[in-house]
Amino acid sequence: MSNSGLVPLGHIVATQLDEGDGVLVDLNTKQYYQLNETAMLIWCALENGQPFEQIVAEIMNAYTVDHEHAVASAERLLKEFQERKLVRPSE
Amino acid sequence: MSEVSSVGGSAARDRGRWEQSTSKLVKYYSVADRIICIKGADEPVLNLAHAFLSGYYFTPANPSAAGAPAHLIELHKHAPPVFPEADSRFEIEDGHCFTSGDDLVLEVNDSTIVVAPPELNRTDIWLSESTPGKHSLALNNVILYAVQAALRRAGLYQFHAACVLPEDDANDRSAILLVGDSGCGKSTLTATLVRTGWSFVTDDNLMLSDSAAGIEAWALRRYFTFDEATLDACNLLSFKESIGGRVPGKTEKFRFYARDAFPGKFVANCFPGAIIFPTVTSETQSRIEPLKQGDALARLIRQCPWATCDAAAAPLHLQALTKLARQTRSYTLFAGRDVFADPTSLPELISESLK
Repeated sequence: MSNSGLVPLGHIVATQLDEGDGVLVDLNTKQYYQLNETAMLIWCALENGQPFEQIVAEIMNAYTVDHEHAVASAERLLKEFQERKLVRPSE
Repeated sequence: MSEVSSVGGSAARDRGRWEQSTSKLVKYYSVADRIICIKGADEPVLNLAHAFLSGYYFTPANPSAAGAPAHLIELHKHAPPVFPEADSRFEIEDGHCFTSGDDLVLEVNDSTIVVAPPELNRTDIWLSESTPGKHSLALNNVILYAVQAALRRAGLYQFHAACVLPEDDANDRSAILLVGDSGCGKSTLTATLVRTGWSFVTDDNLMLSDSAAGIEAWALRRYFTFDEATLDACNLLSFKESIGGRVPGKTEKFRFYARDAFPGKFVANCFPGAIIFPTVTSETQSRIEPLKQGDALARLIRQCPWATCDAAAAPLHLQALTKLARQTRSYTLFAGRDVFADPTSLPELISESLK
């Protein structure tokens, strides 16, 4: 993947806390989701339109993990965002 | 059913920004440093709203000195326009809510409330002509929903919480919010703390506002509400002059005028420094345990359904709750049999744990 290809949907509101974790609220379904630091890092990266490899690099920097580990984490979380209909493909 | 007067959303009605008025059918109120304006279709309707608001910290304001209102609530008596319903309908107590274009529409107790887009700063109520809809409890309920929406649009977020300040340290940032569903022990804890000399903002209902100095909590309702068992358990029955009538719609509860019972202990507004989420347990010993910000924020959101249901106000509402979670230290209080056997042990437990 050269970029994540995903952007947050407009009806999702994100808030971040001091320790890097945060909450997403889906205004359509009224559901809210608690995100840990890794998930919040990825969400913020999506909001900033960062490509996939940059997201992976940030995970590697933040958590001292190898490339394979970081890719697996990023792919898993992006898939989860998609399954919960929090993101859409970018145009 | 009354004849429909018009069809359609905001374009079909004459709505716009409110112009200052000295009409007898208009009243201005000061609420937490903002001005809310109420316009009635006639004097009886306006007086109905005024009587309801007299139980809250809505202080009548002089129109000429009031400044521009943050929000207008207008009460109508004719049939409401028809609002085409969008997909996002959900149930609320006594009715349902949906969006229609940019409007938020609530149909409650046979009346219709329409909250306009934020830039219009107005909420319209079409009061029901049906017999059940004209009952005073139904009308009060409708006005309450409209007032809650108006307050949100004005940046004041109603919050179901008690707020108390320690007896020996009643400064702004020492204020503690007690947050939880009905039955979690909030009222008993509040009554116990106030009885032992703590200061208070409220036992149950307040407003949060987001300012440069932080999240501020403001008193909203002028009285506490306790059932007889709580009054008895907290030794409040002796304050006979401060016990008012039963609460309409919740007749197991009495109004308690804490400002009269404990003069000098009322605090109108403060910046909370801590949040406690109480829960009653059967444990012998009570304990207080810290909560992470994320868990606290999740609980705060759970306590504020409108933070997710009023989409136009949601981003700022959620921002305020997030700032509150960041501004405060949060804890869970597992209230055991010890504090109910000896309520005087509660203030020390809280003070020691929050040091």
